[in-house]
Amino acid sequence: MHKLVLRSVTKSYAAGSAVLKPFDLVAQAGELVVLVGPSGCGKSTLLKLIAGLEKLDDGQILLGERDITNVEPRHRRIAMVFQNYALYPHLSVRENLAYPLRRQKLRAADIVLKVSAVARQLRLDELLDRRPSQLSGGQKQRVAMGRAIIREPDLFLLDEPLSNLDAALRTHVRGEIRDLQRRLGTTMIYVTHDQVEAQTLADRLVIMRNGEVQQVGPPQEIYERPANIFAAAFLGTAPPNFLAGRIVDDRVEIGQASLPLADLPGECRTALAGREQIYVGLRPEMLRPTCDLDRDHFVLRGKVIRREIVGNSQNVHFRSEAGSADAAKLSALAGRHLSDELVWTTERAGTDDAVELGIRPESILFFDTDGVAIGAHGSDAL
Amino acid sequence: MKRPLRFMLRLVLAALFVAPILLALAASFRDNSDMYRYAGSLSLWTFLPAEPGIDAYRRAFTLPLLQTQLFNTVLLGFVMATGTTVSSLLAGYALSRFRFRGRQALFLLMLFTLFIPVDVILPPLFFVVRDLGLIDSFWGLALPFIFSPIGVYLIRQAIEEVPRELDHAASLDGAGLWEVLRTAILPNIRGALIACWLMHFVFVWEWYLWPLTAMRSDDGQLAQVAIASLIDPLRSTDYALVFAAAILTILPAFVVFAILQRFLTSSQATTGGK
Ligand SMILES: Nc1ncnc2c1ncn2[C@@H]1O[C@H](COP(=O)(O)OP(=O)(O)OP(=O)(O)O)[C@@H](O)[C@H]1O
Ligand SMILES: [Mg+2]
Repeated sequence: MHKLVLRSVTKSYAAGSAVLKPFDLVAQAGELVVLVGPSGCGKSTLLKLIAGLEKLDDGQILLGERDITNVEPRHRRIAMVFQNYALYPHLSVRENLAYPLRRQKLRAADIVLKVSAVARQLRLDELLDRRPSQLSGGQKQRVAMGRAIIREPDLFLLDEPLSNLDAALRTHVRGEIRDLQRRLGTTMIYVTHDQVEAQTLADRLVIMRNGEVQQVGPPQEIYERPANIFAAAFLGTAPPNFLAGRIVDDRVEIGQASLPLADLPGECRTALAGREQIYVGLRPEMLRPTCDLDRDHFVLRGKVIRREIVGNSQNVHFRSEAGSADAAKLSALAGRHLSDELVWTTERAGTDDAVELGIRPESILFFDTDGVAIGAHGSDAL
Repeated sequence: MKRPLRFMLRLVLAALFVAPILLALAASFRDNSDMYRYAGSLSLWTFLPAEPGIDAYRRAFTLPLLQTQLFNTVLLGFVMATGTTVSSLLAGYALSRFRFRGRQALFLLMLFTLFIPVDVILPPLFFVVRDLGLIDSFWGLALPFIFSPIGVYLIRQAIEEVPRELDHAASLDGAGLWEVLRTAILPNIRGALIACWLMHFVFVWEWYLWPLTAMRSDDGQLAQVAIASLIDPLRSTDYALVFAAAILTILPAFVVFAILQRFLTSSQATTGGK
């Protein structure tokens, strides 16, 4: 098992526009780290730098005990699975699997043994004599995985390996990749822009934006204590409802509603004291109808605009007198479009047209006007 | 376009290209006296042999050097085809895959040389080859033209079609630069390679001015140049012989083309089918 360390890696394709700002990352030995972020944020570029397919401008890459910064790709002992699989179209599945072994000049008998072992492991026995063009997407994906594991690399890099599969298959293969990685114990960097994939797979999640790390940590921790509005909006079924608030005396005022600071957890209270303008984030799935609640809560009242049914839950869109903050500015901070409607996600079937919802004070997310979380230090050390 | 019209157009085009060869073929089976007799008034026998015979071919085979010269042409064909294909492959690989300053400019500059006719560079080329001591040698003929802009263009385009991820996968799988070319790219551009090879093989049959300039010994001369010297404006020319020799000369090119043409279409079909 090998630990991967990136030290202030930078990269720009054209002068003046950095694709990766000084970038630091540590993947512990055997860890599955998921890089996630919107399109164009530099995820693939980062993988290519690690693989040696692109030259980095500055910085250092260590894999295990080796400094691989200037090592040729073929000597890095890294295997990569590409989004379009990049199988050799002129070779059969058998020869695709054998390709890395042939480059290592292994004995023919050993190659046969290893190929059949990997084929058995990935259920490819029946397909060994086919060409890649005769395979389904899921089968191609398995061949690509097989080609990656066959030479027992020090590190796996996967660049959106499931994005060409349909939803059902994706869930299934996701589980297989997870199991495989656990069994082999090989360190893995996995790139995706699907947040469900990211959360289900990751030991630790790295949220990226414009070539910069926004937050690093286990998915659950990032969900509970996002470091900023971007990270908060990225994880979760729907982005939180963001509202503008003010601190007046000892209370947080949000539109007509307000909440005494004394109800908040200690660290939050001290961090909020002395500020003026803030944003609060209310996760739609954390809202509850007030009649179900028994303690002091922050309460929102609103009128329902429309409802969306998703499986057994329901997204209730409503407008509240608390109003929403400047949607344009929040959208910029969150890196995605946010409307001024509020959302409540519930499993109840019948809901009234007028809603009265509360949230427990400790579930409220607080951000300053730059979108940085207040009182919660979500990100762990790099 | 309407179907019959399109068919007619094709027929006319085909006839335009094939007619001279057919005429030469017909003439090669004639006798010289036969040829002159009907030349005056236009009739079917102006074009077709009245009494077909293979006498002209017999005479062609007795020409002392024709077989050597034909061998020269065919050998040069193989050498030029193979040489340009290899050089085009290497240049095309570099121009498509290596990133270096001025790559695009270099490519355009190379394409630009296409617009310079060979006739223009012939005199300086002659002096260079002479100074290298290669006049009157096989390699003196071949070397100056072993690099072909068209070939490079053709192969570079084909390599551009091969996804870069394939190179990336190969180099992570342990392949060096040469192995990437050999095992990941080459098998996927076979169609272009064969096209390039065939094109430059056949091109040799069009060579005239350069061998005429750079090759003065009859043993080393190419068949098509030697045949031209059979036409002697001062004495009466044995035209049947000229035609027979010409037909014999194009025969090897024809055979090679017929054999390889099959691979051309089929290999393109397999690389196209992703
Ligand atoms: N070869 C290249 N030359 C110039 N610019 C490039 C090159 N490759 C990527 N870029 C730019 O670098 C930025 C990051 O690209 P990258 O492919 O790493 O994004 P990504 O996070 O993988 O996005 P996606 O989720 O869409 O795959 C983009 O703005 C892209 O335009
Ligand atoms: Mg990408």
